[in-house]
Amino acid sequence: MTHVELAGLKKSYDGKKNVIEQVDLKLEQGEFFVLVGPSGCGKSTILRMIAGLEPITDGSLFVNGTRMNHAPPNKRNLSMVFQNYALYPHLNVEQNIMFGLHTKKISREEQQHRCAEAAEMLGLADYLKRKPRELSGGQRQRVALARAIVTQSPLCLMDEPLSNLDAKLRARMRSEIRQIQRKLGITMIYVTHDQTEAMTMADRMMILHEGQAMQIGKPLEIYNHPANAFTATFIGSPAMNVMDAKINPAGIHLSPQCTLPNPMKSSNKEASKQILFGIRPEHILFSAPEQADAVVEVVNTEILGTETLITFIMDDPKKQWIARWNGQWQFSVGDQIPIRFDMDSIHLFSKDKGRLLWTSNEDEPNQTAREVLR
Amino acid sequence: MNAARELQSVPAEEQQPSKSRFAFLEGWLYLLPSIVLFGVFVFYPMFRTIYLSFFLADQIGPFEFAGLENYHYILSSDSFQSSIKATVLFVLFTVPATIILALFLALLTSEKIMGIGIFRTFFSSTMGMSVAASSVIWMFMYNPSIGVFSKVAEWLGLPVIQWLQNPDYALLAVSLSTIWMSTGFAYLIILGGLQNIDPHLYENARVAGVSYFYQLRRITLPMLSPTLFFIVTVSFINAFQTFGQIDILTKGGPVESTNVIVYSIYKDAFINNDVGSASAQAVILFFCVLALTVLQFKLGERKVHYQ
Repeated sequence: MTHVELAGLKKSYDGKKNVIEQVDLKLEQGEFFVLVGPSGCGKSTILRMIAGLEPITDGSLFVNGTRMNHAPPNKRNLSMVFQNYALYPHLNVEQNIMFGLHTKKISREEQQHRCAEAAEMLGLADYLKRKPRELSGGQRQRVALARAIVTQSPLCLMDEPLSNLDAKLRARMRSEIRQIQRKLGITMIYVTHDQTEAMTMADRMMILHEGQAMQIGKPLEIYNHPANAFTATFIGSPAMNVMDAKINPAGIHLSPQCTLPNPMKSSNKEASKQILFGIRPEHILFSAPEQADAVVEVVNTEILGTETLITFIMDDPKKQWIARWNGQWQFSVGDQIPIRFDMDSIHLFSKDKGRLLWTSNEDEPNQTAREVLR
Repeated sequence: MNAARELQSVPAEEQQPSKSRFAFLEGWLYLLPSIVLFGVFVFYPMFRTIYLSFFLADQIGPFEFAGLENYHYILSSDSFQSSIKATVLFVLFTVPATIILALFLALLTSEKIMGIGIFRTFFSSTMGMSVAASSVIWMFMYNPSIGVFSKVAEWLGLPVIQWLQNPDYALLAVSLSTIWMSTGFAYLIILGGLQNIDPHLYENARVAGVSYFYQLRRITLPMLSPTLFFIVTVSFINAFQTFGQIDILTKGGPVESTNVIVYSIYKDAFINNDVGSASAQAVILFFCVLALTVLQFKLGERKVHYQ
């Protein structure tokens, strides 16, 4: 069942330039949806428009099929968690959690009961009488979460809720938020700039860039089949290598020494044109010298334990590529190593708009099978 | 190992005194300008006043030790008591009204609306006017024959009141002009306090759907409490020290109805030439204000939420 629908949503502050361009989106009941993009891409603006904190310039917002463009925030039946948690410093944890519950015509006992339940769920039971300043960052975060939970709203909006936490705690809270969302069956719209959060938490996600939706889909779908060069480089860490290349019927020319076969068999007969060549670090392989596509120069290695990131250059020192290999590879700077590109995993994008021109049209099972064989 | 450590520590200790003595002097050097300024303009006059309050003195200087006689004299004088009464009434008339008015105006103008800057400038503009200039304006407004109050009263068919000449109304009239003069500053401080409140707190309240007055009571006022505490303290002290508008509008009259304590001090010292009594009054005022401020801190700190 569709819970929230955005139809042609637009936002403009000055009436001339749209900061959000035509966002269309349908969210299912109980879905965990992530809006992800670099800072300033408009993801928080979309969230605030859904919450009713920011007026909608054009287009429609439907909640359960009802148009909600002009409904005040409290009539939209949602809860919200803010980036800085927006806790009231003069109220204790309990008062913070129960803030505003009286407007929902809930009895005092029921309020207490819900508060105790949420506090129990989030491990806050011992801190109910404390003020926010006496809590750690993670505990404050939980209070903000508890405040969203006690409203029992079917829709929860989160605006970068984990960005003020350290990396370890962030990883824990990621899984905790996801579990709570599943348990309560609420629809979640979650804004983040962190692609790891998006990848690990989302049922589906939307990638935004300069107010435009670049791609909507499941995390793995987007990872494996990016629709454009922006998505390709934004999702995945380390990012996909996207390099200038020249293409003609004879092949793809990455450097004077490195030419790959042109996979676009029926491609137009233009003599030669500039494109972007994209390949993920894990699809650049170490090769036997006689099978190598190129011999490259190592400029840096980062050994992470289970895998190694090798930064290398071909001929242009400004164009640094990254390869990711399993295991611990010890190269010295300046080493010449033979590499091979997995031609089934390359992406070709247009030079001007970054639109996807070609990718090997593999279907999922094959892909997995190949991963296993390798 | 131990020996080596002891050996090393000896030269370090020898060097330390000269270094720290220099740092000590350097510290005092930095403090010197403010010590000199405070000494000349605050501490010396203060101690001199306390000293003079124990003497019979005129403007030239003390001429006879009097012990507590000055205090005894003023505490039993009717004039001083009416002066205390006028001061307390004046403070009660002006301080709450100023702060409530300033808070109201600040709440009105804390929204971000087009042209709000114009209103903010209007409401804070009295801060930029001298007490003398504004007093003169109000003197004209209170004038029974040409003032705007009489004109309006006449037009409405009401009796014309001699605002500054009638002992029943004079203190009220002076208070009204004082409220007008001090609202600008209080407004600016409170507006600053309001602007400092995290807007997310209000957004969360909007999502929760609480009413405006609940929001005012549960968010705005508690978050504003440090600012309000500051402005209440400052306003109290200022009200106790009011002088300029009294001097220009009523000169303490009629029938001593506006003879607030600072004006009474001025009159005793420079008109009656009784510096001893004036000093004793000043000392009493000082301790009253001190006690009140300490009391405010004691009571206020419990209610104030610093972030």
